[in-house]
Amino acid sequence: MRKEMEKEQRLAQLGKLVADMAHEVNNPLMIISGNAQLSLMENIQSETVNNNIKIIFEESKRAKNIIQRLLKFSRPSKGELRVIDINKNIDAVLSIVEHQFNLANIEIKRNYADNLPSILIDEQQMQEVFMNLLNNANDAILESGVIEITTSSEGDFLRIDFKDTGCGMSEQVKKRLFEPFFTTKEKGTGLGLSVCYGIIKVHNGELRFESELGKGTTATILLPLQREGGK
Amino acid sequence: MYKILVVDDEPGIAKLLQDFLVKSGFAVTQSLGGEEALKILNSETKTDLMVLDMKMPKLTGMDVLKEMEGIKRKIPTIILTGSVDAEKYLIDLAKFGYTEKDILYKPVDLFLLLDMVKKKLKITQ
Repeated sequence: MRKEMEKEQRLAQLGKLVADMAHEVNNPLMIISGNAQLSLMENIQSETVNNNIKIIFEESKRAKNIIQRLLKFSRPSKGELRVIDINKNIDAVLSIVEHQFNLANIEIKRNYADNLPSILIDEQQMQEVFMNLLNNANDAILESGVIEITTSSEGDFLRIDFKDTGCGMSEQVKKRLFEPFFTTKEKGTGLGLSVCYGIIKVHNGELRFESELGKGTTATILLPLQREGGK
Repeated sequence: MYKILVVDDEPGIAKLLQDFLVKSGFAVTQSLGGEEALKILNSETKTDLMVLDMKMPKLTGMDVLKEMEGIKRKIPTIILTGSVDAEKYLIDLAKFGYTEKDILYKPVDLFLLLDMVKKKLKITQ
């Protein structure tokens, strides 16, 4: 329990640092990208110079994107809340990735509970969380495997489990999962789970992982159910 | 020619917005703070639109809007802010009739700014 609290505090401090940094970086970033846009409005004779300015502009857009994602971790907004059927919401994400997963010999098993209470969430943000967790599960499965998605209600919470038969995580990796820029992937930005953490946190929920090296990982999301007349 | 006042305490941004809007065919004055902006707004010079940063030392963007409200002058305004701060401003901005649609988040895409300027000034082309 104490360790959990320490971890939460550390992430909160990190979140503040990230938000302050993002704020400070926004102005110089706008000056860089804006001046690149302004230069592109000129009749530049040199194709090389023109291309270089385009690169500056495109790369500053990329930096802007990273900052936006960092802000989702540090100060996520609840955004547009709607009453959602969580099973349908997961299916919407699966409809995008399932075919591609199947081609990679990954089977998706749906283990959805019927008659789950609807839940008030930001649909798009939650889909981003599901997409991240599914992609991580996909990356963890090296040859073939199964991703099993289970939905259930547990007391005052709605529970969603993403269980994969992938390579699992070491204790070291598990400790640092939510840290921005921490990644085990060659091409990862290390922001996916930080963003997920921020989104679940702002929904007053919980995101936790159980994992065993060589056996697989289960990501569990708990979201509080809204009671009638409640907020 | 429409006259635009750009207010931002960051000289690089004020200059960038001025250069871009001048290039887009507007007459632009820049101000690096709220006090100077109010002087310009209270002078004889006509201002058709203001591009106003929220976070400035001394007189903030919100202070400028309050002062303008106090003297019953309403100038179409585009609000500039970092997305970190946006939520805390929304309630106060609503008091002056501004909504999220009037806000541009830094770093701003200049052509989005131009679209918004044209909409506010009801320029159809």
